Amino acid sequence: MNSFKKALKDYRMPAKEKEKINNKLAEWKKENSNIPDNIYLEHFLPSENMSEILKVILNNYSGDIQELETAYIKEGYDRHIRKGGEIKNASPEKIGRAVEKERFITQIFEANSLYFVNEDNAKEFVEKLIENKLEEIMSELKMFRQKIDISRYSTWVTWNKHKKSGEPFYFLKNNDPYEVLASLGMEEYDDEDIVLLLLIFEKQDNLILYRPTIADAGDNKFFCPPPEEFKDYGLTMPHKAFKNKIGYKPEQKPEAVCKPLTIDCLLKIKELK
Amino acid sequence: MKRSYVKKFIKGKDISEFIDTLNQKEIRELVKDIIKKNSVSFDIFPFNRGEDVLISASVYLKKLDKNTRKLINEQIEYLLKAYLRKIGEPNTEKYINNLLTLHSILGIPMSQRLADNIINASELSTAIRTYAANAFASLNDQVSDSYWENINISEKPFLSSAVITALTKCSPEKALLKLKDLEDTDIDIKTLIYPVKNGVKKLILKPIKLREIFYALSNSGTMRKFFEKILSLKEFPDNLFKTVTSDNVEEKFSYLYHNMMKPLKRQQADDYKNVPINLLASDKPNNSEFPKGY
Repeated sequence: MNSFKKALKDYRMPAKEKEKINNKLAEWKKENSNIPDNIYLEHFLPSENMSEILKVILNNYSGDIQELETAYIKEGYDRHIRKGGEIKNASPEKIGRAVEKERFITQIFEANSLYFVNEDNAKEFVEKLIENKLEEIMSELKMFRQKIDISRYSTWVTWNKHKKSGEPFYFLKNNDPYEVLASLGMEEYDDEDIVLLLLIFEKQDNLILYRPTIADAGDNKFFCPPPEEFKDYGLTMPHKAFKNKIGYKPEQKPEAVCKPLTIDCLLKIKELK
Repeated sequence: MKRSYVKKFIKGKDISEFIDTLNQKEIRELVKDIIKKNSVSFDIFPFNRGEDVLISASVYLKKLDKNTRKLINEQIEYLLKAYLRKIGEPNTEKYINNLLTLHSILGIPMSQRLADNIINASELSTAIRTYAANAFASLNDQVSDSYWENINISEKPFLSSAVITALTKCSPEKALLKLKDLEDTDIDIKTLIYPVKNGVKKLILKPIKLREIFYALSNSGTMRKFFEKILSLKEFPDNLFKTVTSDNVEEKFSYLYHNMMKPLKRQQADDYKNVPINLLASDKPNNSEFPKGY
């Protein structure tokens, strides 16, 4: 049973409230949002978390969909992240995350603002990573007992589902950034000049990978819970529109969320442009 | 939550053209939605999973021309002033922090008066005051050195990264000597790594100056140990620390030629060749803390 139905059942929501929630979701859907459909499709989120989210929807009195969406996203991010259950049927040794270079610099600056002083320092740091001076960086961080957060938020990762020790970005055929955007269902920020960074981390034993849920995804357009019968992990939502750009139909890849990663488990970083 | 700026946004249209259509109030509304992370701004600045609208907006907005960034920064400053009057209310620190992020990434200097107000707002966390001071020091080149020199960092160690960053621009030696004032303070050492590294980079061709600074720091103090660690970082030539602490002029000369000449451009290298060796030798520090025999 999906999380929505289970929440309604477990918390014995009165028929009047059920109807109100359904009406709000129907109204929300008219705004071209994928959130209402995903709420119905979600099945990794425990019913207690789903019921809290449904209460936020129920208690939105203003009738303003933007306000409802903001409240929904905040509720998810503030109280229900990484609740989709631990991934047990996959144990990759390497996990990967793709991020646009400019955003990575800004993110790493924002997440470590007292360490970097200004964005130029963060840029210098990232350039060093790209130049493969990881050892130099690690020795410096170790010397000052410093940890560098990759970002403030949960990290979304993928891996090689065919081979435990395989490369997470094994699927690249042409080393084209669009292959990554398409396969992982990432936002296309710019038509030209996109520079992606492929970050490959060691999956440390104590790092828990969680099945992603609607609460982790916020309002992301390229997120969809996997079919209800699929329980193992999350699946990316490839771009159909990119088929022509990359010359083949991208396949779904496994995906998970984990706590914000730090630089010390980074194995390598590759620039793709 | 109806926003007039939303009506002016056309998907796929250039962000700079969109901002040009907005009046001051609309820009302020947009900035407010970004820093409060209201979903109304998500369509304008789309972001991926694991990211947020503050990062996304910063990346888009920093690419705009200087005049447009100035207009946005004016509204950031307006909101900062407004939130400073609301310190103590829920989320105010978070919003000030987010405004400072946007401000520092846009790269437009803040007015000195506003910077002072934030830096001296004792009700704010020291992290936010450091953040504001760092942004001010990094972006504002119009402030005189005396402004920074007059800050007593032994009393306000949280401002030391900003002071060192600002002074490094014109006087890296003066900047690094500020480390002396930080003995016996509760300075968070991580905040000094980049400012001090940047200072050392500026003086890397002057190991004698670095030597003066090294020996000016108390022999048993934590700052000398810290400075030693910085000098021995792998990003600097292998024997920089050895050269700085060495009494042997030959060693210094050899260091400069073998480590510094190679990466220099031809012109710089040629300029350096004209520096007589006796100038290096005579550049002795006159500090009583120097080891005997120097």
